[in-house]
Amino acid sequence: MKQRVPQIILTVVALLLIASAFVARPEGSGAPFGQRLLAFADQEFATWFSILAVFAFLLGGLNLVATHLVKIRDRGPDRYYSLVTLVSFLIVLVIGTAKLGGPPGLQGDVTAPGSWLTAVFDAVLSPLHATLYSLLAFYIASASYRAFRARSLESSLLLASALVVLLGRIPAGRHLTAWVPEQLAFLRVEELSLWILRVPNTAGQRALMIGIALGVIALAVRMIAGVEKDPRSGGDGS
Amino acid sequence: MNDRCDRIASWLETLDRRWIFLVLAVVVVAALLSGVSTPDRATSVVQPIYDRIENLPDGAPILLSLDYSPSSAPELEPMADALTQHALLTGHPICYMSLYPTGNNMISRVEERVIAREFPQAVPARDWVSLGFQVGGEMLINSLRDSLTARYPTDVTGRPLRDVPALRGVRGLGDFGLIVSLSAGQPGLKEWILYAGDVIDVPLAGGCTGVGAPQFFPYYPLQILGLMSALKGAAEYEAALARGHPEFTAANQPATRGMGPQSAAHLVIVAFILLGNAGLVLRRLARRRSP
Amino acid sequence: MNGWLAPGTWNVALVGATVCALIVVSVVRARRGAHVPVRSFPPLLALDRAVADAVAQGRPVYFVAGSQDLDNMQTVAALAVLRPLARKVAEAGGRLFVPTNRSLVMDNAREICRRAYDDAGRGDLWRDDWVAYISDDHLGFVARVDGLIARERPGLCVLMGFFASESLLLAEGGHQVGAVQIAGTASAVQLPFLVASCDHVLLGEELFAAGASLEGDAARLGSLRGQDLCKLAAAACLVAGSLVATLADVTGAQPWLFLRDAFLNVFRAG
Repeated sequence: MKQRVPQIILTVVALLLIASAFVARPEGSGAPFGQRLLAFADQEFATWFSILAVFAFLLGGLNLVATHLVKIRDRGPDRYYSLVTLVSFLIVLVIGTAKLGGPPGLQGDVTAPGSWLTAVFDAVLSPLHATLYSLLAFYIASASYRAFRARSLESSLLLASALVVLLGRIPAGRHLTAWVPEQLAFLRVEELSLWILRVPNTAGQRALMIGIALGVIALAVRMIAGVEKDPRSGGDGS
Repeated sequence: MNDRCDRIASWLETLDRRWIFLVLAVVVVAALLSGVSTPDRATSVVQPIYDRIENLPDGAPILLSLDYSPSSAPELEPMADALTQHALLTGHPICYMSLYPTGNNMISRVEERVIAREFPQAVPARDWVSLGFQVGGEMLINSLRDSLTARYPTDVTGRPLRDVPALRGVRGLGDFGLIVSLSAGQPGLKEWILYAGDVIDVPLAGGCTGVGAPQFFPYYPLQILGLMSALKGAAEYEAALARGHPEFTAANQPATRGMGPQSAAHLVIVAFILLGNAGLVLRRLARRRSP
Repeated sequence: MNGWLAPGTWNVALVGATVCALIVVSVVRARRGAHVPVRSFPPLLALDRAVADAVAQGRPVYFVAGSQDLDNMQTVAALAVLRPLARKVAEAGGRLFVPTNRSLVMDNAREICRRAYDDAGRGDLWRDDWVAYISDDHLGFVARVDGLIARERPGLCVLMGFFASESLLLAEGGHQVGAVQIAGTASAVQLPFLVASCDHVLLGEELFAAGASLEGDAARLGSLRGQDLCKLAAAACLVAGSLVATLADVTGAQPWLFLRDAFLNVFRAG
C-alpha cells in the first residue's frame, strides 16, 4: 500500500498532464467535462507545483540546520565552517522574510533597490557567484591543454576545430584571415567557425538529442507503468 | 639532443596547471587595464534579432526573460542592456520576467543601469514593466501561454496587470511581438522553445552563455529566429545597434569593451594548446631517434 | 475527436504514441522471456575495480546526482545508478558520501543508501549524514563539494545526471586529488568537459540505460530494446525524408512533392 498509493498518484498525474498538452482549450461553459478538467489541470498544476516547491525548500532548510547543528555539537573538524553557514543562513532568512529596508506589505518587492536583501545580493552573492564562475576560464584552459593533443586522426580533427572556433569567436581572429579574397570568404576563420557550429555541431547535437529524448521517454514510460523500480525501495516496483 | 627533447616533452606533459592559471590571469588583467577592444559586426545569427525589433509593428511589446544568475551575468547582462536600449529607442514596451530565483535582482540591475541612467524620460508601467521571478520553469511557461494573469496577477510593485499600459492587448504569451530568453541553463531558452515557441505562433529569440551555445544551434533558424552566444553575441548586437542608431554609438558598450580581455584569453588558450602539441611532437621525435 | 485535439498537435501525438507503443511492446516481450542482448558499458565495468581500490586505500566514494531536482529525468536515472553503486560500496565496507543540492533528492538518496547498506548487512556502518543537502544554488553547492573533496580526498568520484557549468568545476576538483572519476550526463554541452577531466564517461542516452544495465531486470532491459527500435525508425525516417526531399526538388514530380509535404507535416516543429 505504501508503494502503491504514490505510484497511482504518479500515473494519474502524468497521464493527465500528457493528455492536457494535446487537448484543445474548451470554448465556453458548454464544453465536455473531460476537456474542462484537462484544461484546468494544465493551468493549475503549475500553481500546485509552486506550493509543493515551498515544502521542498522547507525540507532542505531544516536539513541544513540539523546537519550543521550536529556538526557544531559534535565539535567536528569542520565546525567553524558549519557555524558560518548557519549564521549566514539565519541572517539572510530574517532579512528576506522580514523584508528589511524594502517596500512594506505582503506584496512589497523584497528585491527592490534599497532593501537589505538587495544589498546582500549585490555585496555578497553576486561577487561570490562571479568568482566561482570565473574559475571556469582557468579550468577550461588547463583542461584544453591536457585534452587537445593530436594523438590520432580523430583527435587532430578535434584539435583543428577547437582552434578554428577559438579564433573565430574573437575579433582578432577576423583580422587573421582578412586577406582571404571575397570569393573565398567561406575560408575566413569566422565563417569557418560559424560553419562548424551550424553544420557538424548541429548534426552531432541532433543525433544526441534524438537519443536522449528517446531515453527520457523510455524512462518516463517505465515510471508511469510502474516498471521502473521506486528509487527508495530495494525491491521491484512492479 | 634526444635527451633534451625528452626533457622538454616531459616538462610540457607534466606542466603544473598553476602556470597556465598565472599566465592567463596576467594576460587578462593586462588586457582589462589597457582597455583594448575591437568593434565587431553582426553575423547572420544575431542580425535577425535586431531586424525583428526594427520591424515590429508600432508599440508591440517585447517579453524579455532574464533566465540567469549573477554568475553568468558578465556574458548575458550586456545582451539585456542592448535589447532594453533597442526596445526603448524604437518605442516598444518591454516586459521583464525570470525563471531564476535571482531574476528580480537581475531585472533591477538592468532598470538601474540602463533605464534610469540612459532613458530618464521612460515611464514605469508604460514603457516597461517587471513581472519578476516565479517558480515552475517549464510549467510556468506552459500556464502563461493562455493567460499572464494566471500566474502574475500583479507586477513586482503590486500593480494589477490590467492597469499596466505596457501590456494593453496582451492576454497570453502569443500576444507579444517578440520573446527573448537570455539563458544560462535550465530552465531557460530550451524550455521557452519547447513550451512557447513550438506550441504557439510567437517569434522567439535567445541569448546564451558560450558553453551553452552548441546546444541551441540545432533550433536556428526554424525554431528561434536568432541567437546571441556569449559576450561575442552581445558585442555583435551592440555593433548592429551602433550601426542602425548612430546617435547611440557613444553609449555604454560593455560587451564590445569585454571582447578585448576575452580575445586575450582565447589567444592564451590557443598558445597553450599549441605548446602541448609541441611537447607531443618532441616526444615523437625523441622516440624516433632513439636506437 | 476533432474538437478535442488541440490544433497543430496531431503530429506530436502520433510520433509520441508510436514511440511509447514500441517501448511498451518491447517491455512486455522482455517480461515474457524474450532475450535482450545489451552491450557492456566500459564506465560501468570500471566501477567495481574503482570501488574496490578506493575502499582498499581507505578513501571514500563520492556520488553527485547532478544539479537538478527529481522532476528531471537525468536525476532519476542517476539515482538508478546510485542504488547498485551503494550496494557495491557497502559490500566492500566503504564510505559513500552523497552531497545533494535538492532536498527531495537528498531524501531519496538517503533512503536508497540506507537500504543498500542494510541489504549488504552493513547497516552498522551507515550514517545518515553521509547524504546531505548543501544548497539549491549550484555554485554554492560546487564550492562546498569541492571543499569536501579537497579535504576528504575520495578515491572515486561518480558524477551522474544533469550538470551545467558545475560539471568542470566538480570534475577538476576530483582530478586534483587524483580520484578515479566516472561520469555520465545527457547534457550534451557538458560532455566535452567531462570527457576532458574524467576517466570514464557515459555519453548521452547511456545514462538512462546505466541503471537497467547494472541491475539487469527484464522489463527495464526491454525498454532499452524499445529505445533502439525507435532510434532505428528515426534513422530510417531521416534517410527516407532526405531522399524524398531531394527527389521532389530534382524531379518536381507530384508523388514526390506529396510525399515530401507529408514528411514535413509529420515532423514539423511547432
